[in-house]
Amino acid sequence: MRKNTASPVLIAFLSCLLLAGCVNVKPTFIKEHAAESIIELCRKEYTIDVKSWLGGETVWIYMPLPRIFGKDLLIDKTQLEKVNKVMIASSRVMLSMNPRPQFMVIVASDTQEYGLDYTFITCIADILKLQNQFISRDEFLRRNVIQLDNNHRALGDTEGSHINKKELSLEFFVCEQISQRVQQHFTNEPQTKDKFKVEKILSRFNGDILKVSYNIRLKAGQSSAVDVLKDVKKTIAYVVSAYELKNLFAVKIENLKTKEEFLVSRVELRELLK
Amino acid sequence: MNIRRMKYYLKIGFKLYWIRFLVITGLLALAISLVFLVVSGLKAWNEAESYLRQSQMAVFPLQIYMQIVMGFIFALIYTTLWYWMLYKKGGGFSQVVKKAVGGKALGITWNDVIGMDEAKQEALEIVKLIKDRAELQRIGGKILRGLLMLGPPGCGKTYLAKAIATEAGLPFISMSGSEFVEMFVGVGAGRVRSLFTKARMLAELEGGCIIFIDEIDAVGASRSVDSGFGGQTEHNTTVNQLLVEMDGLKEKDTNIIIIGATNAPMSFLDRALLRPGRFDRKIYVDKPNLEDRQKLLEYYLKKIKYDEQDVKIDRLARITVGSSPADVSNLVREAALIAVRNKRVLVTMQDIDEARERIALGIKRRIKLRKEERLQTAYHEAGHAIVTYLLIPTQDVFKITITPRGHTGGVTWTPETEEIFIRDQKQLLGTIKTYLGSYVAEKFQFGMTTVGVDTDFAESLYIAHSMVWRWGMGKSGIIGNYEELVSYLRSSRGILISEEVKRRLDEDVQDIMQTCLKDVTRLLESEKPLLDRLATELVVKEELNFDEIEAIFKECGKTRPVQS
Repeated sequence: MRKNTASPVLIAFLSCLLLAGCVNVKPTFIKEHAAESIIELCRKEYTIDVKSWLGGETVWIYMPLPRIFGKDLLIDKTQLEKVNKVMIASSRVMLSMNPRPQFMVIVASDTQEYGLDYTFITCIADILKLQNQFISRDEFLRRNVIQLDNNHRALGDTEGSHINKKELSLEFFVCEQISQRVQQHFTNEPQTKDKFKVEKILSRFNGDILKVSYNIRLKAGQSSAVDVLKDVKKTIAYVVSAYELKNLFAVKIENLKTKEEFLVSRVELRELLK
Repeated sequence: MNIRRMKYYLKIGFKLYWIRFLVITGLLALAISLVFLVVSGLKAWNEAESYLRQSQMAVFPLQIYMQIVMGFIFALIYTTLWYWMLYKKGGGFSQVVKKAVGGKALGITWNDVIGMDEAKQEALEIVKLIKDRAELQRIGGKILRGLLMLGPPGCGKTYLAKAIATEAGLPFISMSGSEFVEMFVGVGAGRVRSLFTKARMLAELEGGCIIFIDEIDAVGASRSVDSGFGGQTEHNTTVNQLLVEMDGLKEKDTNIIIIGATNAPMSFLDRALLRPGRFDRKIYVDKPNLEDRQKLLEYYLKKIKYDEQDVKIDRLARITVGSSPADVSNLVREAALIAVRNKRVLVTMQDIDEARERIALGIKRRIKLRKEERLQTAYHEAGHAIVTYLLIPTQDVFKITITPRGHTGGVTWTPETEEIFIRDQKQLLGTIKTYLGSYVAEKFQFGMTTVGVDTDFAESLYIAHSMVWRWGMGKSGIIGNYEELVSYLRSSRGILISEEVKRRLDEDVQDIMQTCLKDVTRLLESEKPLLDRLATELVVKEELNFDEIEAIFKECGKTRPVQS
């Protein structure tokens, strides 16, 4: 009897096609050579010379720029464009790498005029989330920790020797992001920006307790229905849930002005997000 | 071979095989572009960073899965669509999807065929011939092939065909002539072939088959030379195929009877179709006579509840002269509707009269005539009514109305009281006079006439023209059917009638018109009081029915002339 071989072949072909998604694609870059890959990609495709180091789970990228800020102390657009390009290049390297580091820090230093360090700390997981459209571009930018520090040691440093290339932890990143988000919430949001002044905001881990201290006051002559404590709690809850901090037991919130302290459990934090 | 010669060969080759050239060039271009795209795609794939490749690979199964699903959906839609187009909608362009109905399933017996005794008798004989086919063949008799039913619409041709099928107990395929007609050449012929193939199979299976083609003039009209647009060619091909199939039956010796029905004159059909061996028998299904109408009325009235004391079927049969069975059926149906509207349990004669009026005159229009127009219309209609009443004994003046109905401003309804099959000169002149009555009446009263005489003039002139040009009734004594000659003249492109004869014929036509005009003028002059009375009454009442009209005439001392 003649066998019909067409059907098994077709089934095998379709199965191969359907299983194609399970194929393990060899990564283009490897973690051990992450720094070299970033330097090469930046030079080859964007003609930008950067310095890079890998320290544990953190990739450091140093960009010596003669003038980041103009005379009006505003960021120079051309230089900012360069920072963006380096961000893109290093993101590409991070994405096409397996396993990946946890953080990427870009330090763009004004080496000629003022001696400033402009630092961008990015969680690599956020880059993946952005690529896969789990988070918006705005949210991605809000998740980046941006610091601007006056550092006279940056002047004339083209090798990045003045930066402290320590390994960052997730706890540190979360603390920094909480501080930044609270700051932005009370200075940028339309319902609060002209009414409140953030005197101080500080986040740090003490064992498995996250302590957030703040001093946010209502500006003179202003009134607002905004519940500051509630907004602070919500911000903390969001960040904690975004990074799934497993070692966190509770959050202690301290109002530096009134000296009041509030202990918020993880369950309460989850409730706040509903 | 030099270059010039090669170029020449290429040129000739291209002219001869340009489609091949184009197809091969297209395929080559496709193949090259495919190779180029695959190579560049692979190159890009290899150069791409792993994240991009992984992203692609991640969505690849989903894309494949979606494409398979979409492929199945489209395949299903396409298959269904083509199946519907080819086998459901029209059986393909050249297929016939008509289902044969079992003869018995039609359930129409001889008893259901009312009237038309002669046609029925003929049909009965045909059924016998179909049934006793073997016996007929044994004695060498000729087998019946086709039966052509001619006659006005609504006279029961289809009904009779169904009765034949029921009585013969054979499968019955009913088609309309227009179902063979399509815009594509060859489709008609294909459908004829398909129909006969199906009928042959049924005949072999069931012992016979009846094909009924209604409005056969749509498919069997005379063949002629195509005028250049291809429509005639398609028609000719269809007729040819029909002829071949009808002839082909002889060789196959299958018991297939073709029944054709048409309202068109027999001369309209192709002559080859009418010759013995194709449509062997012709049955003329005419409008019912008095007796048939009586039977028809009894048959249809039996289906509704009517007042037997009030509705006189014999009288009704007399006043429905010229009605076809379909008209009678419609009349009864309409009367039942009116009875329901009038909240009556039984249909009365009043309902039937109302239904007759509605069918004959149409529904009243909502326009309102001016006072002068109403008066003009009243005299116009009164003129018709008086001339009809006093000169035409075979027509009743049943109703006069100046309410606009249909396309007219007013109507004088004068139904025939008896059937007249052959009209003589006197009757024709009488008809012309009734038409001219309106013109004379308007002229008398107003010293001028209206456009209302338009149709009256057209009808009367046509009768006068026919009397002279066709029937030799002119004063000058010229005889001959000159009308027919004119149609010959067109085809022969020769001069067959002299100008002198034409002039004399035209003079005769005008003489008839003028003589009638004088007679009508004399009549209405003498009946001026009656004319005024009738017109005044019309203006007041708008509508006068039979009894009111009779009363007015009697009041003025007028009686209907006795029919000679």
